[in-house]
Amino acid sequence: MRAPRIPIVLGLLVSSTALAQSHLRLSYEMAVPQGATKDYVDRFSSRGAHLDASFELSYAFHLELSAGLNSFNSVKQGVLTTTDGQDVSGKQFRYLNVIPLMGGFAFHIPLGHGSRFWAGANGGAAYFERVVDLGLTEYTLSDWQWGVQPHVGIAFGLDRSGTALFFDGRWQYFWERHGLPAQQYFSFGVGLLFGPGRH
Amino acid sequence: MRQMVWTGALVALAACYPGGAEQVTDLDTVTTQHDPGAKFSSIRTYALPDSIQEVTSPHGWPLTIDHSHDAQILAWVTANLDGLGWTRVDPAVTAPDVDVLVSVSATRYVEYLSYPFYDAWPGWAGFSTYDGTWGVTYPWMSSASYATVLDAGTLRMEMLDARMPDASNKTLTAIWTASIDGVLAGSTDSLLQRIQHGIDQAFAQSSYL
Repeated sequence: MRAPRIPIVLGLLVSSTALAQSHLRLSYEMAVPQGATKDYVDRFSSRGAHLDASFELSYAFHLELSAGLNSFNSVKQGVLTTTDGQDVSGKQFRYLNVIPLMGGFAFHIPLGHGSRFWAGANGGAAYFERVVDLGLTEYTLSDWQWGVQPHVGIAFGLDRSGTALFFDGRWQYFWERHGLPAQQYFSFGVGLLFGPGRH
Repeated sequence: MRQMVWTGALVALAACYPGGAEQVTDLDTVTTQHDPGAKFSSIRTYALPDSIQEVTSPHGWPLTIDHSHDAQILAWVTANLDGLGWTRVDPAVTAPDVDVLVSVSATRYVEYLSYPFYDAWPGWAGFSTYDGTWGVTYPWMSSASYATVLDAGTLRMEMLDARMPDASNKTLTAIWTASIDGVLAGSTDSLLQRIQHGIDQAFAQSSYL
Protein backbone atom coordinates (compact mmCIF):
# COMPACT_ATOMS: atom_id res chain seq x y z
CA MET A 1 0.00 0.00 0.00
CA ARG A 2 2.95 2.32 0.56
CA ALA A 3 4.59 2.12 -2.88
CA PRO A 4 1.79 3.56 -5.02
CA ARG A 5 1.72 6.75 -2.97
CA ILE A 6 5.17 7.90 -4.11
CA PRO A 7 4.37 7.95 -7.84
CA ILE A 8 1.10 9.71 -7.08
CA VAL A 9 2.82 12.44 -5.12
CA LEU A 10 5.60 12.76 -7.70
CA GLY A 11 3.06 12.86 -10.47
CA LEU A 12 1.18 15.65 -8.77
CA LEU A 13 4.34 17.67 -8.28
CA VAL A 14 5.63 17.20 -11.81
CA SER A 15 2.32 17.90 -13.46
CA SER A 16 1.79 21.03 -11.48
CA THR A 17 5.31 22.44 -11.67
CA ALA A 18 4.30 24.65 -14.53
CA LEU A 19 1.33 25.93 -12.56
CA ALA A 20 3.19 27.17 -9.54
CA GLN A 21 4.37 30.26 -11.31
CA SER A 22 3.98 33.98 -11.15
CA HIS A 23 0.43 35.18 -11.13
CA LEU A 24 -1.98 37.94 -10.13
CA ARG A 25 -4.76 37.64 -7.62
CA LEU A 26 -7.70 40.02 -7.44
CA SER A 27 -10.17 39.63 -4.62
CA TYR A 28 -13.25 41.11 -3.06
CA GLU A 29 -12.63 41.31 0.66
CA MET A 30 -14.60 41.46 3.88
CA ALA A 31 -13.07 42.31 7.22
CA VAL A 32 -13.73 41.94 10.92
CA PRO A 33 -12.17 44.63 13.16
CA GLN A 34 -10.31 43.64 16.31
CA GLY A 35 -8.77 45.48 19.27
CA ALA A 36 -8.55 49.25 19.02
CA THR A 37 -9.90 49.11 15.49
CA LYS A 38 -13.06 47.50 16.87
CA ASP A 39 -13.26 50.20 19.54
CA TYR A 40 -13.41 52.79 16.78
CA VAL A 41 -15.56 50.93 14.23
CA ASP A 42 -17.29 47.87 15.58
CA ARG A 43 -19.06 46.78 12.43
CA PHE A 44 -18.11 44.05 10.01
CA SER A 45 -16.81 45.54 6.77
CA SER A 46 -18.22 44.31 3.50
CA ARG A 47 -16.24 46.70 1.37
CA GLY A 48 -12.74 45.86 0.43
CA ALA A 49 -10.51 44.59 -2.30
CA HIS A 50 -6.99 43.32 -2.71
CA LEU A 51 -4.60 43.00 -5.59
CA ASP A 52 -1.67 40.66 -5.10
CA ALA A 53 1.19 40.01 -7.48
CA SER A 54 3.07 36.79 -6.83
CA PHE A 55 6.47 36.15 -8.42
CA GLU A 56 8.01 32.72 -8.25
CA LEU A 57 11.62 33.05 -7.08
CA SER A 58 12.29 29.33 -6.87
CA TYR A 59 10.06 26.32 -6.87
CA ALA A 60 7.10 27.02 -4.55
CA PHE A 61 8.81 30.08 -3.05
CA HIS A 62 7.23 33.35 -4.08
CA LEU A 63 7.80 37.06 -3.63
CA GLU A 64 4.48 38.75 -2.90
CA LEU A 65 3.49 42.36 -3.52
CA SER A 66 0.15 43.37 -2.15
CA ALA A 67 -2.10 46.44 -2.24
CA GLY A 68 -5.57 46.69 -0.85
CA LEU A 69 -8.39 48.76 0.47
CA ASN A 70 -10.60 48.02 3.45
CA SER A 71 -13.39 50.41 4.36
CA PHE A 72 -15.14 50.26 7.71
CA ASN A 73 -17.95 52.35 9.07
CA SER A 74 -20.16 52.50 12.11
CA VAL A 75 -22.47 54.86 13.94
CA LYS A 76 -21.96 55.73 17.58
CA GLN A 77 -23.58 58.12 19.99
CA GLY A 78 -21.03 59.66 22.30
CA VAL A 79 -18.64 62.44 23.11
CA LEU A 80 -15.70 63.19 20.86
CA THR A 81 -12.81 65.11 22.38
CA THR A 82 -11.02 67.06 19.70
CA THR A 83 -7.34 67.93 19.61
CA ASP A 84 -8.17 71.54 20.52
CA GLY A 85 -10.00 70.53 23.70
CA GLN A 86 -13.61 70.58 22.58
CA ASP A 87 -16.02 67.94 23.82
CA VAL A 88 -18.53 67.36 21.05
CA SER A 89 -21.47 65.03 21.56
CA GLY A 90 -23.93 63.77 19.00
CA LYS A 91 -24.37 61.00 16.53
CA GLN A 92 -20.96 60.10 15.18
CA PHE A 93 -20.78 58.63 11.70
CA ARG A 94 -17.39 56.97 11.79
CA TYR A 95 -15.41 55.83 8.79
CA LEU A 96 -12.08 54.07 8.57
CA ASN A 97 -10.37 53.57 5.25
CA VAL A 98 -7.24 51.48 5.23
CA ILE A 99 -4.87 51.16 2.30
CA PRO A 100 -2.28 48.48 3.09
CA LEU A 101 0.78 48.33 0.86
CA MET A 102 2.83 45.24 1.62
CA GLY A 103 5.57 42.98 0.39
CA GLY A 104 6.72 39.58 1.59
CA PHE A 105 7.18 35.93 0.84
CA ALA A 106 4.91 32.91 0.58
CA PHE A 107 5.14 29.21 -0.07
CA HIS A 108 2.80 27.96 -2.79
CA ILE A 109 2.01 24.27 -2.78
CA PRO A 110 0.65 23.03 -6.10
CA LEU A 111 -2.36 20.77 -5.79
CA GLY A 112 -2.75 19.91 -9.45
CA HIS A 113 -5.19 21.02 -12.15
CA GLY A 114 -4.45 24.67 -11.53
CA SER A 115 -5.19 24.46 -7.84
CA ARG A 116 -2.82 25.50 -5.10
CA PHE A 117 -2.50 26.29 -1.41
CA TRP A 118 -0.30 29.04 -0.06
CA ALA A 119 0.80 30.59 3.20
CA GLY A 120 3.06 33.53 3.79
CA ALA A 121 3.67 36.78 5.54
CA ASN A 122 3.91 40.33 4.28
CA GLY A 123 5.31 43.42 5.91
CA GLY A 124 4.87 47.06 5.10
CA ALA A 125 2.65 49.94 5.99
CA ALA A 126 -0.92 51.07 5.67
CA TYR A 127 -2.46 54.47 5.35
CA PHE A 128 -5.25 54.85 7.89
CA GLU A 129 -7.81 57.56 7.28
CA ARG A 130 -10.16 58.08 10.19
CA VAL A 131 -13.15 60.30 9.56
CA VAL A 132 -15.91 61.27 11.97
CA ASP A 133 -18.92 63.16 10.66
CA LEU A 134 -20.53 64.88 13.61
CA GLY A 135 -23.26 67.39 13.00
CA LEU A 136 -22.18 69.62 10.15
CA THR A 137 -18.50 69.13 10.86
CA GLU A 138 -16.07 66.51 9.66
CA TYR A 139 -13.12 65.53 11.84
CA THR A 140 -10.24 63.60 10.29
CA LEU A 141 -7.08 61.99 11.56
CA SER A 142 -4.84 60.15 9.15
CA ASP A 143 -1.41 58.61 9.21
CA TRP A 144 0.73 55.72 8.05
CA GLN A 145 1.27 52.81 10.42
CA TRP A 146 3.77 49.97 10.04
CA GLY A 147 2.42 46.47 10.09
CA VAL A 148 2.47 42.80 9.19
CA GLN A 149 0.07 40.67 7.26
CA PRO A 150 0.26 36.87 7.60
CA HIS A 151 -1.98 35.22 5.04
CA VAL A 152 -3.17 31.86 3.75
CA GLY A 153 -5.17 30.93 0.70
CA ILE A 154 -6.40 28.13 -1.48
CA ALA A 155 -7.17 28.28 -5.18
CA PHE A 156 -9.16 25.92 -7.35
CA GLY A 157 -8.34 25.81 -11.05
CA LEU A 158 -11.29 26.70 -13.25
CA ASP A 159 -9.99 25.95 -16.73
CA ARG A 160 -6.80 25.59 -18.76
CA SER A 161 -6.41 29.37 -19.14
CA GLY A 162 -4.71 29.57 -15.77
CA THR A 163 -7.65 31.19 -14.04
CA ALA A 164 -8.54 29.88 -10.59
CA LEU A 165 -11.12 30.73 -7.97
CA PHE A 166 -9.49 31.39 -4.63
CA PHE A 167 -10.30 32.09 -1.02
CA ASP A 168 -7.85 33.69 1.34
CA GLY A 169 -7.60 35.04 4.84
CA ARG A 170 -5.29 37.65 6.36
CA TRP A 171 -4.60 38.96 9.79
CA GLN A 172 -3.58 42.57 9.47
CA TYR A 173 -1.76 44.11 12.41
CA PHE A 174 -0.30 47.61 12.53
CA TRP A 175 1.79 49.01 15.32
CA GLU A 176 1.04 52.11 17.34
CA ARG A 177 2.49 55.21 15.79
CA HIS A 178 2.37 58.94 16.59
CA GLY A 179 -0.01 58.27 19.45
CA LEU A 180 -2.46 56.36 17.30
CA PRO A 181 -3.20 52.96 18.83
CA ALA A 182 -2.27 49.64 17.24
CA GLN A 183 -4.78 48.56 14.63
CA GLN A 184 -5.80 45.06 13.68
CA TYR A 185 -8.44 43.19 11.73
CA PHE A 186 -9.05 39.90 10.01
CA SER A 187 -9.94 39.98 6.35
CA PHE A 188 -11.38 37.26 4.15
CA GLY A 189 -11.27 37.39 0.39
CA VAL A 190 -12.76 35.61 -2.54
CA GLY A 191 -11.43 36.26 -5.98
CA LEU A 192 -9.79 35.11 -9.13
CA LEU A 193 -6.19 34.12 -9.72
CA PHE A 194 -4.76 34.80 -13.13
CA GLY A 195 -1.76 32.66 -13.95
CA PRO A 196 -0.08 31.10 -16.96
CA GLY A 197 -2.33 28.71 -18.82
CA ARG A 198 -1.79 24.96 -19.03
CA HIS A 199 -0.75 23.46 -22.34
CA MET B 1 -14.02 36.51 -18.05
CA ARG B 2 -11.56 39.22 -16.98
CA GLN B 3 -13.96 41.97 -18.00
CA MET B 4 -16.63 40.38 -15.82
CA VAL B 5 -14.22 40.26 -12.91
CA TRP B 6 -13.32 43.93 -13.17
CA THR B 7 -16.98 44.92 -13.56
CA GLY B 8 -17.94 42.84 -10.53
CA ALA B 9 -15.18 44.32 -8.44
CA LEU B 10 -16.16 47.87 -9.34
CA VAL B 11 -19.83 47.21 -8.61
CA ALA B 12 -18.95 45.63 -5.27
CA LEU B 13 -16.86 48.62 -4.26
CA ALA B 14 -19.29 51.23 -5.49
CA ALA B 15 -22.36 49.62 -3.99
CA CYS B 16 -23.89 50.80 -0.75
CA TYR B 17 -21.39 53.39 0.38
CA PRO B 18 -22.61 53.95 3.93
CA GLY B 19 -24.94 56.86 4.28
CA GLY B 20 -24.71 59.51 6.92
CA ALA B 21 -27.45 61.40 8.66
CA GLU B 22 -30.98 60.33 7.81
CA GLN B 23 -32.91 62.55 10.19
CA VAL B 24 -32.51 66.16 11.22
CA THR B 25 -31.73 65.11 14.78
CA ASP B 26 -28.77 63.10 13.49
CA LEU B 27 -27.06 66.44 12.88
CA ASP B 28 -27.62 67.81 16.39
CA THR B 29 -24.43 68.38 18.36
CA VAL B 30 -23.51 69.74 21.74
CA THR B 31 -20.04 71.24 22.05
CA THR B 32 -18.57 72.22 25.41
CA GLN B 33 -15.25 73.79 26.29
CA HIS B 34 -13.85 74.83 29.63
CA ASP B 35 -10.87 76.45 31.24
CA PRO B 36 -8.89 73.61 32.84
CA GLY B 37 -7.47 76.06 35.34
CA ALA B 38 -10.86 77.27 36.60
CA LYS B 39 -11.93 76.37 40.14
CA PHE B 40 -15.40 75.00 39.50
CA SER B 41 -15.58 73.25 42.86
CA SER B 42 -15.69 76.55 44.73
CA ILE B 43 -18.64 77.97 42.77
CA ARG B 44 -21.69 78.37 44.97
CA THR B 45 -23.79 81.09 43.35
CA TYR B 46 -24.72 82.18 39.87
CA ALA B 47 -26.65 84.96 38.21
CA LEU B 48 -28.72 84.47 35.07
CA PRO B 49 -30.48 87.17 33.04
CA ASP B 50 -34.18 86.65 32.40
CA SER B 51 -33.82 86.95 28.66
CA ILE B 52 -32.11 85.17 25.81
CA GLN B 53 -30.26 87.56 23.59
CA GLU B 54 -29.76 87.23 19.87
CA VAL B 55 -26.33 87.09 18.32
CA THR B 56 -25.94 87.61 14.62
CA SER B 57 -23.55 85.40 12.75
CA PRO B 58 -21.08 87.28 10.52
CA HIS B 59 -21.87 84.77 7.78
CA GLY B 60 -25.20 84.06 6.15
CA TRP B 61 -28.53 85.78 6.64
CA PRO B 62 -30.06 86.12 10.12
CA LEU B 63 -33.46 84.48 10.58
CA THR B 64 -36.32 85.76 12.71
CA ILE B 65 -36.29 84.12 16.13
CA ASP B 66 -39.39 83.27 18.12
CA HIS B 67 -38.82 84.29 21.76
CA SER B 68 -42.11 83.00 23.12
CA HIS B 69 -40.38 79.99 24.68
CA ASP B 70 -37.43 81.81 26.26
CA ALA B 71 -38.77 81.40 29.81
CA GLN B 72 -39.10 77.67 29.31
CA ILE B 73 -35.57 77.37 27.94
CA LEU B 74 -34.15 79.45 30.80
CA ALA B 75 -36.01 77.24 33.26
CA TRP B 76 -34.21 74.20 31.83
CA VAL B 77 -30.87 75.97 32.20
CA THR B 78 -31.74 76.97 35.75
CA ALA B 79 -32.76 73.42 36.65
CA ASN B 80 -29.37 72.13 35.53
CA LEU B 81 -27.45 74.82 37.39
CA ASP B 82 -29.50 74.21 40.53
CA GLY B 83 -28.79 70.52 40.06
CA LEU B 84 -25.11 71.29 40.56
CA GLY B 85 -25.96 72.53 44.04
CA TRP B 86 -25.52 76.15 43.05
CA THR B 87 -27.88 78.93 44.10
CA ARG B 88 -29.25 81.56 41.79
CA VAL B 89 -28.85 85.06 43.18
CA ASP B 90 -30.03 88.49 42.20
CA PRO B 91 -26.85 90.32 41.14
CA ALA B 92 -28.39 93.62 42.29
CA VAL B 93 -28.37 92.23 45.81
CA THR B 94 -25.60 89.61 45.96
CA ALA B 95 -22.42 89.33 43.94
CA PRO B 96 -22.48 85.93 42.19
CA ASP B 97 -19.50 83.64 41.68
CA VAL B 98 -20.35 83.27 37.99
CA ASP B 99 -22.59 84.92 35.44
CA VAL B 100 -24.38 82.56 33.08
CA LEU B 101 -25.48 84.05 29.79
CA VAL B 102 -27.74 82.40 27.24
CA SER B 103 -27.79 83.58 23.65
CA VAL B 104 -29.19 82.30 20.40
CA SER B 105 -28.55 82.70 16.73
CA ALA B 106 -30.44 81.45 13.70
CA THR B 107 -28.87 81.80 10.32
CA ARG B 108 -29.60 80.87 6.75
CA TYR B 109 -26.49 79.77 4.94
CA VAL B 110 -26.54 79.88 1.17
CA GLU B 111 -23.74 78.40 -0.83
CA TYR B 112 -23.40 79.05 -4.49
CA LEU B 113 -21.89 76.32 -6.58
CA SER B 114 -21.08 76.03 -10.20
CA TYR B 115 -22.09 72.69 -11.60
CA PRO B 116 -21.18 70.96 -14.83
CA PHE B 117 -24.57 70.79 -16.49
CA TYR B 118 -23.19 69.00 -19.53
CA ASP B 119 -21.71 66.16 -17.46
CA ALA B 120 -24.83 65.88 -15.31
CA TRP B 121 -26.86 64.52 -18.23
CA PRO B 122 -24.27 62.64 -20.26
CA GLY B 123 -25.35 61.71 -23.73
CA TRP B 124 -28.63 63.63 -23.65
CA ALA B 125 -29.66 64.62 -27.17
CA GLY B 126 -30.64 68.10 -26.03
CA PHE B 127 -26.97 68.87 -25.42
CA SER B 128 -25.71 67.25 -28.60
CA THR B 129 -24.57 70.54 -30.07
CA TYR B 130 -22.65 71.51 -26.91
CA ASP B 131 -19.76 70.01 -25.05
CA GLY B 132 -18.23 70.15 -21.57
CA THR B 133 -16.55 73.49 -22.22
CA TRP B 134 -19.95 75.27 -22.25
CA GLY B 135 -21.34 76.90 -19.15
CA VAL B 136 -24.62 78.42 -18.01
CA THR B 137 -25.11 82.08 -17.20
CA TYR B 138 -27.82 83.39 -14.85
CA PRO B 139 -28.70 86.96 -15.89
CA TRP B 140 -30.07 87.82 -12.44
CA MET B 141 -26.85 86.88 -10.69
CA SER B 142 -23.28 87.98 -11.03
CA SER B 143 -21.92 84.49 -11.58
CA ALA B 144 -23.07 81.17 -12.94
CA SER B 145 -24.22 79.33 -9.88
CA TYR B 146 -26.43 76.82 -8.17
CA ALA B 147 -27.57 77.54 -4.66
CA THR B 148 -27.86 75.23 -1.65
CA VAL B 149 -29.60 76.51 1.45
CA LEU B 150 -29.28 75.46 5.06
CA ASP B 151 -31.00 76.96 8.11
CA ALA B 152 -29.01 76.34 11.26
CA GLY B 153 -29.44 77.45 14.81
CA THR B 154 -27.31 77.66 17.92
CA LEU B 155 -28.22 78.06 21.56
CA ARG B 156 -25.14 79.09 23.49
CA MET B 157 -24.52 79.13 27.22
CA GLU B 158 -21.53 80.94 28.65
CA MET B 159 -20.23 81.00 32.18
CA LEU B 160 -18.18 84.04 33.12
CA ASP B 161 -16.07 83.99 36.25
CA ALA B 162 -17.24 86.97 38.32
CA ARG B 163 -14.89 86.19 41.20
CA MET B 164 -11.76 87.54 39.58
CA PRO B 165 -12.54 90.18 36.95
CA ASP B 166 -9.43 91.58 35.30
CA ALA B 167 -10.06 95.25 35.97
CA SER B 168 -6.86 96.45 34.37
CA ASN B 169 -7.76 94.87 31.04
CA LYS B 170 -11.51 95.14 31.63
CA THR B 171 -11.93 91.46 30.92
CA LEU B 172 -14.12 88.73 32.34
CA THR B 173 -12.89 85.19 31.82
CA ALA B 174 -15.22 82.65 30.25
CA ILE B 175 -14.61 79.40 32.10
CA TRP B 176 -17.24 77.28 30.34
CA THR B 177 -19.18 77.48 27.11
CA ALA B 178 -21.74 75.15 25.63
CA SER B 179 -23.03 75.34 22.11
CA ILE B 180 -26.14 73.43 21.09
CA ASP B 181 -26.17 73.30 17.32
CA GLY B 182 -28.66 71.91 14.88
CA VAL B 183 -30.51 72.29 11.64
CA LEU B 184 -33.70 74.32 11.99
CA ALA B 185 -36.40 71.99 10.78
CA GLY B 186 -39.45 70.37 12.30
CA SER B 187 -42.28 71.47 14.56
CA THR B 188 -41.92 73.84 17.52
CA ASP B 189 -42.42 70.96 19.94
CA SER B 190 -39.69 68.99 18.21
CA LEU B 191 -37.30 71.96 18.32
CA LEU B 192 -37.99 72.53 22.01
CA GLN B 193 -37.42 68.86 22.75
CA ARG B 194 -34.07 68.99 20.94
CA ILE B 195 -33.09 72.17 22.81
CA GLN B 196 -33.97 70.63 26.16
CA HIS B 197 -32.02 67.50 25.34
CA GLY B 198 -29.08 69.64 24.25
CA ILE B 199 -29.06 71.66 27.47
CA ASP B 200 -29.20 68.52 29.60
CA GLN B 201 -26.45 66.93 27.50
CA ALA B 202 -24.21 70.00 27.86
CA PHE B 203 -24.24 69.61 31.62
CA ALA B 204 -24.06 65.83 31.48
CA GLN B 205 -20.85 65.88 29.46
CA SER B 206 -19.30 68.55 31.74
CA SER B 207 -18.64 66.40 34.77
CA TYR B 208 -16.08 68.91 36.10
CA LEU B 209 -18.81 71.45 36.90
